[in-house]
Amino acid sequence: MKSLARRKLLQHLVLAALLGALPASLRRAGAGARAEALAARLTGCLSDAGGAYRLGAAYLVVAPEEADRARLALHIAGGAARARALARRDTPDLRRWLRGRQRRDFAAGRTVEVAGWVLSRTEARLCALVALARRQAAGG
Amino acid sequence: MFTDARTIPAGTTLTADVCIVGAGAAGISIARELAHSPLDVCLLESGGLEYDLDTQQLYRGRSVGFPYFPLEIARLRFFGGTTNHWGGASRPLDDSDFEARDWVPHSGWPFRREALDPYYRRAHGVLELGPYAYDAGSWTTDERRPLRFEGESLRSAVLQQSPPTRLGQVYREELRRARNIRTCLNANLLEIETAPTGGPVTRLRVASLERNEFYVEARAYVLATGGIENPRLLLLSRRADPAGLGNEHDLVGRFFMDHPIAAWGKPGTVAPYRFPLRFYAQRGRAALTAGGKSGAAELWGFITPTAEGLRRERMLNWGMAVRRAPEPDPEGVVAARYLRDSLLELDWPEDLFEHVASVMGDLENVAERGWYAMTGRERPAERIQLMYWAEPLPNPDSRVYLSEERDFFGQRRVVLDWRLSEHDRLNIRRALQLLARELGRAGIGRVRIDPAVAEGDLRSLFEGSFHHMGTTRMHADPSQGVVDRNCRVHGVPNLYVAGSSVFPTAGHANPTVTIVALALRLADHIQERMKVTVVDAG
Repeated sequence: MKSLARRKLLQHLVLAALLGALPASLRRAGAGARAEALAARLTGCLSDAGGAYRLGAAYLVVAPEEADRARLALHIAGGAARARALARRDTPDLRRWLRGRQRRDFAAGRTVEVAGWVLSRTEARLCALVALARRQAAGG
Repeated sequence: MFTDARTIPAGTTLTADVCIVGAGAAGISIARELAHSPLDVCLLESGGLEYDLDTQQLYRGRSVGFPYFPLEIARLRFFGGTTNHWGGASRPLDDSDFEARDWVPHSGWPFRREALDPYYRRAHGVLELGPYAYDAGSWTTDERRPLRFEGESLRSAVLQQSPPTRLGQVYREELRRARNIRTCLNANLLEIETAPTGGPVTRLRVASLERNEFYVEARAYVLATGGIENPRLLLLSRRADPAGLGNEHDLVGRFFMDHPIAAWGKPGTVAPYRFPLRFYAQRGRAALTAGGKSGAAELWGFITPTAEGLRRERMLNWGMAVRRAPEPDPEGVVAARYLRDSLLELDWPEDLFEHVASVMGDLENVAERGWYAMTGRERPAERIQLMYWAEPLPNPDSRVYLSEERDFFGQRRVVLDWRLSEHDRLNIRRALQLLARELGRAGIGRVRIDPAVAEGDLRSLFEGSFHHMGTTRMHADPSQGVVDRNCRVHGVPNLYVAGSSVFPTAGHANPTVTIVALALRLADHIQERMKVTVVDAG
């Protein structure tokens, strides 16, 4: 009796682990897709793509570990949950949020020097998104 | 009364209660104050009433440190001194400039700013400045509004503009008429004499370029010959000590300071989103707007750290000016302006159709400029340039000392070894980062720091300001300063030093108004001290 109960318990635990792991990987795949979608939306918020590209390329030289569009989008959003929420906003609203985020960056000292420009970390990452998009488009 | 020293027979001894050496900002200010006293005053001036090349050459010297201006053009040696070519920018030192700050070695004045405030007010009269108010709030109007910084690190402030007052011209007649003042022109101080055992000054040895040596005996002496010549004259006076007068602790000539300036555009630029430039970029007459006060002044605004910002960032004090970066006028605007001027002068324009075509082809720019001109609104700048100036770090190795080269009188000339350091670079870099942070935080713009700030040659970034300070620094302790809190040379009971050479620290402000304020304070002190002596003697 005891042995049967233990076996059942183990079966239940394996099943539960499988049930839990499957949605997690699905969730991760979904999150990646949403972050990529947000990255595209964020890129569209910039008005001077040429200038952003140059600054973004320079930023990726000093922060090569961030050369990933989904990761950059998640950094900018500040997490997966907010990325989901941001992806649902319209462009003017997203721009407003970005302006506020940049100001908060400056207030908190989250700045980075890129080609001499003192930028908020958020806008440097936005520029990096543009640079990566161009690289992808160019097949690089 | 004015006397030409070239007419004084050799061997003559002039006597006075007070002898002031040097008729510049400090010397003239003290003499004017004493003009209303019962004291007999002798004011010695090396030059005449106008510039003279032979006299000016007495200022020649060598510069061996950070590149500096030729010493014979960095100051003027005739009646009125360097106020004969000063620019007129004026501002008192900040409260924090007087404090001992643990991050600024050798900092701290023997008194606080409040002690100098009454004299700053009086100095405003001497230099024909406006009301004694330098905070941005006192000068804000609807048309001229300063930036609103959200943090506590930066603030806006103003500089006032003196006409600029040429003291040698404005106060010449007043001094000529003063019955108790003998102004002795073309009189060069050669040596401050004491007994071989030291003690008080016994007399001054003086000569004109005619080599007619004569003497001046007084009860009190004031050395007011500028931040390079003051230490030189003390070092040349060796009766009691081969190291020079007042130089027991090897401080005379040390701590030479000038305000390092990074000229327009050198620190960097700002890409503005919205930047109210008028408060900063337009020099102009403004009315005082603070409650209950009235008056007006010629002024302009600049950005500077708060006392809290300085403390938090452990910085030297600094100022940053902003202006619209030069923008070439669009072709259509140039053509429209030409057509307008021609018509106003009733002159038929040359190439009329070509100009009209230029205007028509550039209507958007012409209309935009016209709209701003008509409405009086401020046209946004495409790019803003920055200019930076800063408090120098007091450094004993930055100094003036005697050379082996000799002047006309056979007196040793000076060597200037001005030192700047990586500390000055760190300061400008931190200042720009702070500005970038505050402008970004307020959504006003983005700052681009010039690469020279980060890693370029300091010599291409900074230059001097013609402000010679610190070489006879003030400190209550004789081992740390040449003069005491009353500008009296430690160990020499009747010798005073006036001028910016007594500044122990220099803030970032142009020094003239502080020089005059200190001179007025010294004049009060001398009168008080002489009065006591008279009473005692009686």
